Amino acid sequence: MNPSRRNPLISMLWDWIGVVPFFVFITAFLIFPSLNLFSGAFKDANGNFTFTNLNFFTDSYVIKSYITSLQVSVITSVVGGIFGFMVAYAIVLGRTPRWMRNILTTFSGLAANFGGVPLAFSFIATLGRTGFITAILKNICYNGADGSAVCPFNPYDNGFNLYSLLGIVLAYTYFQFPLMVLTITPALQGLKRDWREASENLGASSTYYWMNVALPILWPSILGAMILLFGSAFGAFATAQALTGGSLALVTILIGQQIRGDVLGNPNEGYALALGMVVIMAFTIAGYTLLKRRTARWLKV
Amino acid sequence: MSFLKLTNVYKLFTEIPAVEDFNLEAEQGEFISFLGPSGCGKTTTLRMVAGFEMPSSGQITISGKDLTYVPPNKRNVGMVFQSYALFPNMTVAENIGYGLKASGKPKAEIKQRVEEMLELIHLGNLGARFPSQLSGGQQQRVALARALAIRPQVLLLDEPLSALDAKIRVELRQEIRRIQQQLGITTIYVTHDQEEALSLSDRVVVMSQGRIEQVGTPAEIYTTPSTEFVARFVGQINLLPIHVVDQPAGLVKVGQQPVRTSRSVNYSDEKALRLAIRPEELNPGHREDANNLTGVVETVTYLGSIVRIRVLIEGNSVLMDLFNERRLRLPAVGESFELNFDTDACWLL
Ligand SMILES: Nc1ncnc2c1ncn2[C@@H]1O[C@H](COP(=O)(O)OP(=O)(O)OP(=O)(O)O)[C@@H](O)[C@H]1O
Ligand SMILES: [Mg+2]
Repeated sequence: MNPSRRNPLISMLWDWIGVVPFFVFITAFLIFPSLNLFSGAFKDANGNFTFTNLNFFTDSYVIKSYITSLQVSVITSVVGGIFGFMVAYAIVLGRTPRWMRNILTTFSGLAANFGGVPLAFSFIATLGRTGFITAILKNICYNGADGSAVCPFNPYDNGFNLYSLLGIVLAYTYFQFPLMVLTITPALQGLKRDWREASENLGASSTYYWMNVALPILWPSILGAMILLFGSAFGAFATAQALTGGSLALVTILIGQQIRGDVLGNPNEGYALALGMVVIMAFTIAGYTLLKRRTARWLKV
Repeated sequence: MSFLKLTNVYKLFTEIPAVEDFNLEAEQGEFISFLGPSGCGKTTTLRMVAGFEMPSSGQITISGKDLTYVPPNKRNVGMVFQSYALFPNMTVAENIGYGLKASGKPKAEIKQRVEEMLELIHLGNLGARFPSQLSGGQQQRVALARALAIRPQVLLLDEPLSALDAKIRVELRQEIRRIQQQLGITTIYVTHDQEEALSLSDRVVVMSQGRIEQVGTPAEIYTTPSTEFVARFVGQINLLPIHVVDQPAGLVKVGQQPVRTSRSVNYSDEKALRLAIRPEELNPGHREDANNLTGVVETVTYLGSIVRIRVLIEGNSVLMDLFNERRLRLPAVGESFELNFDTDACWLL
């Protein structure tokens, strides 16, 4: 049939039918819950409108949980971001052999999606109190001056504790840096060899090229990747829950406690906490957009 | 003494050499083209002059100074890339000033030089634009200005026009030649477009499979190609198998039809000789004081200003180009056809 003679309405429906599942999904699992969350944050247990849930934010325990969450997110995205950038650089621009690149890329694809209970468990099995690396370190002993055994490498005698902020940071970094590798690799691949050579040809040093060409061009992608890392750490719940059993107060863990529905919980306060997270994410993304606009004027034209 | 000199330059990447036995001397201010088919080593040679590749052996000197192993950012050789390679995060003016800024020149000097360059490429008012806001031809002008801003000793261009459409290409190549002559800068221009090479260059280097086939002025390359490769690659050529009748007299036979050539015959037993003649040297009809060959018209192709007639002579297709004048009487396919050509228009190869 000649497409130009088809009923325009039917033809339009046909064009849009492919995206219907997407919109259904988005409505059911993003828009609807978000609306629910917004309204829930301003309701009491009986469903009446109230601001009292927001009083929760003056609670020092709640403030502390936001600070901890932000700490974890910022530290893991910076550390993971730097490591991930280095690995991606090695993959794309370094002279690493092909098999090594393949290993790194495949590993990153897997590790970036490794999280929750399995991730927590693998850390407990290696660096937990009875983990096997802990066990190895613990058993490196020698005889001291008085003849008794000295074992200086037990991490738990030296202030290390997996079930703490440091442990969470370690565990998160495990998926943060591969996530950085995955998101920044295409950007690095987008750096043309000709740019580097043109720069060299014009007498510039490699440092000058990186400061004036490569990094400015990569900057929007780096910022974007950091936002992604920040968000993935900020919203993570299962890993922290499984690792610390809820003893370390992250916002997500607090929310979990509020909405679990036992006697101690107050779902509406949970909604308010989640709303706080949404606000922080919104500010972060707004900041990112602003920064990108100011530093990458050339992208706008 | 020659200004730019390549001596026995040889480059091996993996198994077969990319460039072999390359010897070239360019005078100051000379415009030289590297012409050859894809993969013949043009880019590789150019990149060795720029310093992006190191020769496996051989030497490259500019004005007597050995540059063979000098890193590219210490060579002061300007390069223009096929892809333009403009920095997308910088304005046109910043792109042009890049080399000067990198070497720490004072701001005022950079500004003045950038303006000079913008003037030179006739883009005076576009300094504040970003590369993405320019057409391909404009971008390549900027790339040229950027390469020239650092006052390089030698200018290198690697197929700078091949990403542009035909009209802009002709326009810009004349522009390149004008600027080159205005500055008197020694230039190497890589292309696989013979028209470009012939129209621009003082001398053309024809390359094949990593080796130089012939070096000469455009006229030399076209009228006296020294190898079959050059004859075939530059322009159209008819090559007809012959047997020699009288070598000193230059008398040969194409099938049963005699042909005389007044050019010297370097006869050797090992090589099967052929008669070489350009299509435009052939004329329709019979002429007493010239060579005459008779055949049958195979095709007549209309090419605008030229009509190309293919004639089957003694089992060989021979191309003849005629100017498309109104008084031209076109032969019909299958018709018997006689053509003639001067004795000094053909030679043995
Ligand atoms: N980095 C490299 N590693 C291995 N082989 C290479 C490399 N660069 C070029 N070659 C080989 O060297 C030969 C010459 O390549 P070069 O790029 O110089 O050709 P070219 O004449 O510029 O061709 P084109 O007209 O297609 O640009 C080719 O056979 C090519 O495959
Ligand atoms: Mg090339």
